[in-house]
Amino acid sequence: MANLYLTHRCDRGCPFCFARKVLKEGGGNVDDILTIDEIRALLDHYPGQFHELGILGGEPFLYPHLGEVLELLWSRNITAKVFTSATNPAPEALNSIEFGKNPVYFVVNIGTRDTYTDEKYRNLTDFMSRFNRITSLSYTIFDTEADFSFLFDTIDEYHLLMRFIRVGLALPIYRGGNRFISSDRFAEMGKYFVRMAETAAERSVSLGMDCGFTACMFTTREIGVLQRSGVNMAFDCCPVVDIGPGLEAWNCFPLFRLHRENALGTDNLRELYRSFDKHIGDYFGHRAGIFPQCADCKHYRRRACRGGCKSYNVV
Amino acid sequence: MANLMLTNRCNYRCSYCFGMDFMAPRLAGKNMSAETFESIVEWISRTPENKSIHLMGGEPTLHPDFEHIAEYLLARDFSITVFSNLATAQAPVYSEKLADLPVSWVVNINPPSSWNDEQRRNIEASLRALKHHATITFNIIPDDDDSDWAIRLIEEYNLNRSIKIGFVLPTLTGSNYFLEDEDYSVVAEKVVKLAQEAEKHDIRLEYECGIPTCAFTEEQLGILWDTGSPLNSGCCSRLDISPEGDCIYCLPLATKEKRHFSEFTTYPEAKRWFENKLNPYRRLGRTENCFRCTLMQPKFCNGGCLAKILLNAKNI
Repeated sequence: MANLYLTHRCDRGCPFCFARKVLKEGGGNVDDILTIDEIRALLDHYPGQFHELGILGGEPFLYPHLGEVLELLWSRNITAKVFTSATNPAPEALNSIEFGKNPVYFVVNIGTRDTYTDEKYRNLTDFMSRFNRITSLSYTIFDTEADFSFLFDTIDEYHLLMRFIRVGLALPIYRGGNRFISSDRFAEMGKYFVRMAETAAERSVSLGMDCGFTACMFTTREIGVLQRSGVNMAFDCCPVVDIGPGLEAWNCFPLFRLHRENALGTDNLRELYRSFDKHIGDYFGHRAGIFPQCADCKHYRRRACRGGCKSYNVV
Repeated sequence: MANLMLTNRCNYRCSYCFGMDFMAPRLAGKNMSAETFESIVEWISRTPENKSIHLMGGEPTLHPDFEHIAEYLLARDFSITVFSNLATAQAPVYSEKLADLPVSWVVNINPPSSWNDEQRRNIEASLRALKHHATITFNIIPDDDDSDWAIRLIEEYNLNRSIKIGFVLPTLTGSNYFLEDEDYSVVAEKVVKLAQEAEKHDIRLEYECGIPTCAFTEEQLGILWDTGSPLNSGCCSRLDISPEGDCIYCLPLATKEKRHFSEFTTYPEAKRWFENKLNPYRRLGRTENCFRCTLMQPKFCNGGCLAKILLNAKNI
């Protein structure tokens, strides 16, 4: 799995955003984009190796050639998974999407109502009304006091067919710069997520865990509650390679500063992933997880938990 | 991905057998002919990614050409899993001959206290030969006082460090002994105890299909995860193909639908046909709680065993 990072531009200002540093660190300017020619070169370089590609930014709806990107992916039998805030008018090109025929779905990164202007919120709700058959929600937890009921209300109100929410943690960017949940608040975070899972089960919604969750956020019973609530439990740190302007590739946003390389520098995707594994492994050495106790943890040894997001190691 | 029932004969008469409606002596005893076997293999081979075949019965080692069948499949690069009770006279012979080949054995086993002398001899000799190629599977029933014998066998014979646990599922006719809904919590507690003991020996539990998540409390589900034996519920089938070439969705549902394999161009087409036919029944739910449960989805519990769902509905 890989993501195409199309543009730096974004109209949101999420305090936890991983992507904030990409523009500054990349040394580029806000108008730099991943071009269609670059994407074509990428697909030609790794023929048949992509079955699904994430489309993200920045905000993909601010990318001027989104329709062309989708057409290009579909011509190669690649499913597009577009991560968007949907706060901008949906590009014209999306009007021609044929539900059930064109392999595309949307993941809307959603926030509380107070984070939107009226106009932005109208765009968002218009989008969900139109694309409710192929849209699911994504939510990043950074405030464990926040009321999450709006997530389920949104699914019901807009009749989203995919009753699924991908839940992420606000993770630190290596060397700081964003708002994140500190590791000493993981137990509190776990309890918040369990409450969310219980509500999700009552509302017939499934939750998925993005990377960075750890098993020790939860008590034994809480793990059982998560399973009973239909949560796709994953205590992973399994970065997806992001490929941005100039075909620069990085391992994931939190570890963006650690290592970047040319996406076409290897013969096959597996080698590209291995290259990132090696660089990150070299940097972190034999450190198990983010806590000293990870080294002796049975869940870590069984690989049932990867010991949290590595970016905590350097915070 | 198919299960080939090489024979419908079995050397055991287990009261809990959910295949009994489809086996001798209820039906005439039959072995799969060479012609039928080769036609089925050709049919399966039309889907090149299908490179896994389960050999089962009845008791597959009772088939007179069992060894030739295994060799035939290995020569065509199939990975083979044999489901056997290992209690036949032939089992030690085949175990010895096939031990070094890429053949996995899932050993349907009853507690050692129930073995007679001949069965004991055959099972022990087979396990000695198979070692880590053999994975123990058994059903936990409410009256069992001790399930740790499985751990002792794994240690003694250096078997695969995994145990496949089943809940006793019903046939659609209700002809076998099976767990009633009220038995589930009793059995669940025994599963949790076994998982805790197994963890001390670095052994994990896996689960046969049809175990509903709600059989376990949240605490118990957490313990299973914590011991490295997380529950995976669900009801999914590899089609079973009888000695005559009839496909069924699974043994508990053997009397519901059957179609000859030759009616379908490929195995996936046959599987789809059965799923389209049977999946609507899942909406019946095993209990009324299923209707409100978020796990009532294919990738989760989906209400547990479909035969149990249908049997409960029939009783209503």
